[in-house]
Amino acid sequence: MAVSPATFWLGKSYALGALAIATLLPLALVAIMAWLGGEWASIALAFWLGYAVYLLGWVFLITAASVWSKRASSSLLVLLACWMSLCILLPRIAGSTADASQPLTSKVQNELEITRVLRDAGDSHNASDPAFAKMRTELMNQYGVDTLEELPINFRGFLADKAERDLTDVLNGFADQRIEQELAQAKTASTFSWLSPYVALKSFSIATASTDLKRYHQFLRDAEAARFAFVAGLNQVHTNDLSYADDINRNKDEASGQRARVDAHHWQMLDDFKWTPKSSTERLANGLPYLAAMLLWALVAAFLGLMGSSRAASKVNG
Amino acid sequence: MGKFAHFTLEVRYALRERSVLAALAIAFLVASFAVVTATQEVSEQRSAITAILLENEADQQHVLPQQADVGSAAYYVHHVTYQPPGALAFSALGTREDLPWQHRLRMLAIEGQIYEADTGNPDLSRLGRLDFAFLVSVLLPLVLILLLYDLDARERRDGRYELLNATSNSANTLMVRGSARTLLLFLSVILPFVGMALFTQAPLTLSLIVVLVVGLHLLFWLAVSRFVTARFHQGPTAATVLLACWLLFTTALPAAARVVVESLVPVPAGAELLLAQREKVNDAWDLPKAATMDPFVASHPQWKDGVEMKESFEWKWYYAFHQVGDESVKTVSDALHQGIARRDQLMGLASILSPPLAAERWLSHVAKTDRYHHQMYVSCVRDFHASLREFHYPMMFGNKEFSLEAMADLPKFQPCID
Repeated sequence: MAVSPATFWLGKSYALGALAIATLLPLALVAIMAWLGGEWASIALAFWLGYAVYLLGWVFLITAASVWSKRASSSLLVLLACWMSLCILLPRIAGSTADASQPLTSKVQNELEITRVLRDAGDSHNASDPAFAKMRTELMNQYGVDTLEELPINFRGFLADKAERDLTDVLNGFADQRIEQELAQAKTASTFSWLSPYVALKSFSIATASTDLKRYHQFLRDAEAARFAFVAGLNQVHTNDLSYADDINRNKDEASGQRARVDAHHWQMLDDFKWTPKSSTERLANGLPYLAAMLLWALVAAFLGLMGSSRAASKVNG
Repeated sequence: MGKFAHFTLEVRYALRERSVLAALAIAFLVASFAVVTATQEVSEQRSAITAILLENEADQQHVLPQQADVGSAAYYVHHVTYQPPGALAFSALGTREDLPWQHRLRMLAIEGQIYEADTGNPDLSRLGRLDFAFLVSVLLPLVLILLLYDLDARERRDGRYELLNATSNSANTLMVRGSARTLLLFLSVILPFVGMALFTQAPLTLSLIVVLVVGLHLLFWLAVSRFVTARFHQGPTAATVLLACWLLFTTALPAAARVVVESLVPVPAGAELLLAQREKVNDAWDLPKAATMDPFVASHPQWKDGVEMKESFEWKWYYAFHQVGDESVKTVSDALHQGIARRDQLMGLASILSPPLAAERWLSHVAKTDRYHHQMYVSCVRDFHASLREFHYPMMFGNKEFSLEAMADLPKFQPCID
């Protein structure tokens, strides 16, 4: 019985596909272990599926190359060229393009920029700064007192709190800007997912594992929120529990220095910080475009293979 | 037929093949992309340097006049240090990609500032970057393998091999064919480089070294290809063996060398160093003044008469404990610096085994973007920081009066490279 080229192509893909699935066994084991360790079943499954689709793309690419080539050596040439472009060249071109089209400003540049913005905001360590004179008068009027010592709150603590809030606003503005820059770069780079399944797989993996840029930015924001809550808490203690008189005399002698201190237990709030991955639906949704890109690759390669085999068939018959 | 005529004939043959033309065109385009994007990056770095110098100057002009004493001047006045990109930085971005080449410092402990670096975009570092050095050391051998692996097998397949054998020296013919293709590939990647070198007026000698390195690297792979294809007569077999060689030389050997070198030369952990220094400085606030001033006087005997304190806080004590904090980790810090240098030297030695690694190292060395130049920059920053201390100490521990006129001589950073 004669075997049609399309059947031949399918059989070849089937055999290679089985081999590819076999190489994914270790990943299946790891995915199961992750699931047993508390990972969402849907995530573990999707993760494995992503790699299967990726390998399926390569299976179809390999069989397509072989039906289109007259000789084994020329199909090898084509496949090597594909591997080199898709897995080595394009990812780096993606990285270079993203960086060249939207360069990040450096840390030093940012610091100087921040310094310039803060020049007008005043120095919170210096209570006689003109920017604070107005605030001092307002506060004394509000409490109906004539000197800072008579205030029921510690003016230095009040000032530190105010300055911390203003500073944090400015810094968060810069952080947002930076995050936008990084996201814009990542967006440029991830468009290469449609050109290179390798880029797609990498993006898919980190999105599904919740180790991607978005999660990283979330971590930065969480850490900053924790830091701010902590410092604001200390400033509250400074404002309410430490008298202004003790505060300004802190450098007089050792005993005054000791009086101007707060207890170390205020630091323990840092222990509460927890890192949590994103929800499974969000992670699946983030990974979906890349899965689609890999699927498209597999489909295009399968289409090429089918076309090649029907061409071969028409040659045989004609 | 003369040798030259034979060679030009083979060049013409090669240019008639579509796959060869495609490979050459891609090599040319990728090389152009690499040098153009890197040049763009380098010019951005240059304008960033100009910008930070201006911005910092403005900041100093604003901050300095407000200061009433030398301590707050040293605390509030910042300095910018940088390593300008070398003329050929566009050919190998090297350490400028992941190690700091600019710092903003003050006269606080240098150990707490020198390791500060840009975090970069994690999404991009995952993908890597394409520069000319990567193209030459990793991709070029692969393209050459694609161009050469089939030469012997094809002659054999087409039945010309026996004829060729009878008429002339077949090995010689195939060698000429291989050389012709190697030369074409060499030209298609070196032209974008030479173009950019001329455009940016890079020094001739350095540019010639790059040309030489690329040429030698390709010659090595021509030799490997000839050696392999003459022994394995099937195209796919030859290609597989050549690919194995490629993996061995570009990936396996450098990785193995790195593992061996890193285990031979242990270096102290940077994080531990930072923590130790940080704790030393922080703890000093709670220690008796003598715990800071005694070691300070031990390393700076010239100021032994200036460490007496009248109040519970004085700036000189603050800077003394920053100095002592630095000194307390000096041996570890030196060990780290020397360990990294030693590792780099050994990797240089190991690169004898791996021509791709050697090519990459040469290119980044000529571009002044290798470890060696990075360490030179770090030493330059440390020297500058030391000069800041030397400048301020007479006003803190000695009799020199603080004044804005005196501060006019505040040291300015001068790069040590280029």
